[in-house]
Amino acid sequence: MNARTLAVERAPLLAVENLVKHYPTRRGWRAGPPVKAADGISFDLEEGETLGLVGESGCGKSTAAKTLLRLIEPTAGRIMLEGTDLARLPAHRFRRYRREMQMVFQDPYASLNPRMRAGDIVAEPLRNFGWDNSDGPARVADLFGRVGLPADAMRKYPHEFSGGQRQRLGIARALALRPKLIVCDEPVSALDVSIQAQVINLLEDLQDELKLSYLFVAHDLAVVRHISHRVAVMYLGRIVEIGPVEDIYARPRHPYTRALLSAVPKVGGRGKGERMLLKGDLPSPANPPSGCAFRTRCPFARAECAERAPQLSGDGAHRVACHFADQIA
Amino acid sequence: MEDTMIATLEARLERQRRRPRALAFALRHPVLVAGAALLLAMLALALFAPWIASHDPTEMNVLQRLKPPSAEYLFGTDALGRDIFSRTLHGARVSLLVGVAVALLAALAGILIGTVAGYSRLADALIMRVMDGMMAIPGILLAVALMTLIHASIATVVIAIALPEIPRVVRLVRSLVLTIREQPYIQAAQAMGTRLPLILARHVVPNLLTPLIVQASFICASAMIFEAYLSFLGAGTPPEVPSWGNMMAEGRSVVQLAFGTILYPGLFLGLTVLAVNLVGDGLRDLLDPRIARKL
Amino acid sequence: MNQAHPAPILEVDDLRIAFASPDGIVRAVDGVSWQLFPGEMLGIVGESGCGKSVTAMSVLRLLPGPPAMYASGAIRFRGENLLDATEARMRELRGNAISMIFQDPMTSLNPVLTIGEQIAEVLMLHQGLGRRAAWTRAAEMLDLVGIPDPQRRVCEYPHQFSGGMRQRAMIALALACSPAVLIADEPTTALDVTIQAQIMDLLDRLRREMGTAIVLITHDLGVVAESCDRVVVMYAGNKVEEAAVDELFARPTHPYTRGLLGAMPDLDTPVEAGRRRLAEIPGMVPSLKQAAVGCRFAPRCAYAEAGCHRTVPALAPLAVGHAVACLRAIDILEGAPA
Repeated sequence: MNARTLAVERAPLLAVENLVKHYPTRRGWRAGPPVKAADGISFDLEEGETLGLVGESGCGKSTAAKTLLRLIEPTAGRIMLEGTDLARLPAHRFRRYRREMQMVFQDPYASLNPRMRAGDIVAEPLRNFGWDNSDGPARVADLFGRVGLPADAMRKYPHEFSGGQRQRLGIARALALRPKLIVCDEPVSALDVSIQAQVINLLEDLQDELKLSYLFVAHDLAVVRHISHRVAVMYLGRIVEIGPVEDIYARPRHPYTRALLSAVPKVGGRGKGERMLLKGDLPSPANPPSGCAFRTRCPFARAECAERAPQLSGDGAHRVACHFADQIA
Repeated sequence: MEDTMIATLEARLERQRRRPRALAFALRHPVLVAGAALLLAMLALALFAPWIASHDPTEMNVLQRLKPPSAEYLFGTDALGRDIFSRTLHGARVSLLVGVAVALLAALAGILIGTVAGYSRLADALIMRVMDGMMAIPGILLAVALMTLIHASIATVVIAIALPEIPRVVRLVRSLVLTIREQPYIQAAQAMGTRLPLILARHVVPNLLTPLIVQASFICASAMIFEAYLSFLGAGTPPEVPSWGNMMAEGRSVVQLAFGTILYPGLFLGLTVLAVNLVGDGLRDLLDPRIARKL
Repeated sequence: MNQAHPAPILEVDDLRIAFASPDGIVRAVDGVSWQLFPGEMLGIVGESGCGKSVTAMSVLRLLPGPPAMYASGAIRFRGENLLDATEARMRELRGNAISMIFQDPMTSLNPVLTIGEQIAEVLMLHQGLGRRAAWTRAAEMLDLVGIPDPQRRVCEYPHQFSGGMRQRAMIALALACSPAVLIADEPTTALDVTIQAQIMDLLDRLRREMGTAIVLITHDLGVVAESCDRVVVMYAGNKVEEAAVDELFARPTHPYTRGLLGAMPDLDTPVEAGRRRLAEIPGMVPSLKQAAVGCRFAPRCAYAEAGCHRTVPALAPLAVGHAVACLRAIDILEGAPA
């Protein structure tokens, strides 16, 4: 509960600076314009904090998350984990830092090797970093207990589990190395509502117990609001707004954030007039609009938006990348 | 209405439950079971050939040349007075040995080369060009050429037949590896710090095996035919070995006098190849989850 | 939407669907009834495996027949029982009087035909339109569902469309023959929220303009709350609650409905109050291979009493248009503790 009031003075656990991932394309024989999947992303993450990363499919949130773990090699930028720039470490020296950062994947079935038993799946990271026969089995059993799986589940294969149990298995595996940070890439989007609640509660309990930090990537705004302390909203490879969760949801300043929030169907009901319907689709990240990438769908766009790309700015923790944020609000 | 519906279903299920498990399996996978039964029979004949056979397969008896089938010579005798029945049984040993050995060799080489190609862009370019080159040479020519260069023995026949099969296996393995390496569980292994050799051994190769086993069974069948071709052309197993190909090659000149010289080895070859192909088809259906399990 | 109803256009009456699996009979739908009235949007909600999609597929008879699967009860379209209809009659109805849209538009659009060809084909088949008229109408349909530049877009292939566009194209295809009933099976699940808002807006507009009655199958209570007139909540092959949408969200009564609502994180409770722990529904969906002896939800239910495990609760009216299948419905409404 009071994890929300965090000490600000301390150096962050993770500081991402200007992270870029461009994919080269080809047009016939010549190189085409690169796909800018992530185009200059910066954020900090404190110990014990959850940063929600939201946006629609194709906005680059998953790419950004995987680039942090160097499952995708970054094109440029710095990934500072407790003062070490992980982006520049050679692979053999980077491997050591895998213990600090783990990942929970979106598809709980596809992220488990169908030919391995559950016990071996959870033991694999331990084996990678020095398996101890006296301590290992107990550690695996402890992990099973921690995520609420029965001990006899260790001998089963992934297909014998339900979706929610598979995701628990994925979480146990991510916890095995006692990481400080877990990147959760859409961890509950494949699950039914009632199961989703179980997994979210589990993630929150684990955070409280183990002082974990989460980078929580999701497209479900209600889930992100529930679990996050701070939220970053992405559009076409850039963060357009970042701030404490209550500010973002109660006082969104970027037109895209407002559109996104107004598009979420609410059980509480709401006049239809409040909805801000966006026109059209996401532009191609290979050929983004000039200036502000959102201007083609923005109801407030003006001439200036096509000329200059807005930078994240603002006082304090709540920052927004929009030329007219003050006038719109 | 509901009662009759559930009752009908219950009755069907009950009938099925009462069936012995083996029968239930056979009814669900008739092709596999038929193929496996035929193949097992062939294997048994091959394995126990020395005890079942009535004669030494190489024993010649000039007084008993080209005899029709009789109680002593079940399938008759060939131009040198050897017992065709005994030779056919021993021929099964050669055929099955060659088939299985070729399949294993091609599969192993395929896994090794294909996995490297699937994981290294540089090696891929090189390997695949070599494989393309190999595929441009007709397999039979390559095998005949090899056989003329090296001393004929069963081992060399196996190598000569396996070599032209390798490019196809490599292509299959490579395309499988390219799919598997994009699977989230490979990324998960990377994320938890599993080193590349272990990723290959623990995550990639085990997931290759299912489709590869099916492919290997087809290679086995075609290798048996190939062996017969080569022997028939005189470029296969040494003539003193009683292989089906050799038998048919020798029978060619006397076929009008003793049809059995070609009929029996040909028949057995056909049955064995059919059995292996049926097993391959059956395995594909059994192992492929996309083919819905029918009741 | 209660008294002045004309006859229902589509009526599912005590529908039971069972299919045989190697290790038992799965009662995928176990006695479900609902009615759809002209021009309304009926939501069917529930989690995976509750039988909502099977029900929808069975309306168009898209499920395998006996011996793999048995259906009993009745599905009446304008009084005609579709379970007894011939295959020829079903072909006449599918895509014409009753259409369906699916979660993944890519699987139901043919990748080698242009969008225009696919829409025109349906029109020529069912409406007897000539080629030119059908193409003109196809372009009109694309325009109607809000696809810009329809004259050019009719000549494009599905892969040239974005996800949201494809779903629009599929809606255009489904609505080409002005069907009386549209069955939408998770139409926005694969889409982003902003696109989802567009599509739901579109469905709502088309319903008003064309008078099509819509069955919306979804797991998302939020979507239901915003778009539907009435809701049917399904659990493990049973209808557990039915009500007008406002009534359902104002007085959710079945413990499962309440559980679903409690498990959903929402956008309304103030964040400053700190993290609210989400209500979990413990356990998992039961196996449908045994006949129900008690309430299917009882093992996961906080309100369950001894009787719940013995008696299958019947659907009982609670208010006008609000029915619940729960023995403790009255207690729960009166605020009995869990």
